[in-house]
Amino acid sequence: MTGRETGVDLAAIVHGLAKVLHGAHAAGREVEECYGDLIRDIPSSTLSEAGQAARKAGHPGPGASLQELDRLVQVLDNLARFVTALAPEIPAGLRVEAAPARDEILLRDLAACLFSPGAAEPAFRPAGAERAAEAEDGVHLF
Amino acid sequence: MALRDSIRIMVVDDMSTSRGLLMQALDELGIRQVDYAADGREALTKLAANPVHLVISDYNMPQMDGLHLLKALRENRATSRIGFILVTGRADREIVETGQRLGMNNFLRKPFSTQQMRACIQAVVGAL
Repeated sequence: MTGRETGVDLAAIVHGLAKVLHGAHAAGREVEECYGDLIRDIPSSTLSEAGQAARKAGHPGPGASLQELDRLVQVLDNLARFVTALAPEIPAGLRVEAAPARDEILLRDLAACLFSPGAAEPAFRPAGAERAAEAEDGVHLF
Repeated sequence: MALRDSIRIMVVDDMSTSRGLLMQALDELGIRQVDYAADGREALTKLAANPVHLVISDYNMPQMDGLHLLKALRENRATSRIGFILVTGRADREIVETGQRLGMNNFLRKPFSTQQMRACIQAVVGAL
């Protein structure tokens, strides 16, 4: 922290971070629910066999991995809530030198959300119907 | 008739994937009479209408978490004897201790395997 006017406004960055985390949580939740529906529809023996094959190959298997997915979504939810609650506590006008940190952000829409107040939050996934149409096309280029 | 044919279980979890995995594991164990709820409140409503022998509940849920559900079940005469297994995260020692004080029968740590779930259930209700 330098306190110099040349830095960026910390409150704005944290506000942007909160938006990103909420978006990431929403996208994660959507993926999680999609897999939940999938799991319900497949025979338990299929999941079990896939798990055995994965363990033979040295992987944790779909069951353990999907439990980690749940954990990941819950972590994103907690972090989003935490950062949202923290943002108003940051003193107005507090500026930090963020150039080195900014260099770590390789995704342009993410950088814009964090460092350009008013920028749209990064799009994690297209909305449901739009995504379904793309899936039918077979190819979705990012 | 084996116990797995007659036992009725309710899975309570707000996360679709976890709920699905718990139900898949029960199916793999040959347990077919399984109901589910997305949180504690929904579970209480369903249990009032259709009681079960055993509840397998996640801890971390909105509306009513697993410990509040356990407390509510134990405080109601009609549901006080329902077996209760709490599903928790890795570092939830305090939650497990609170659950034990409230009358939890067993707990299952995530990530769990079907074999771990079988052992956990059998420790409560006997051989499946």
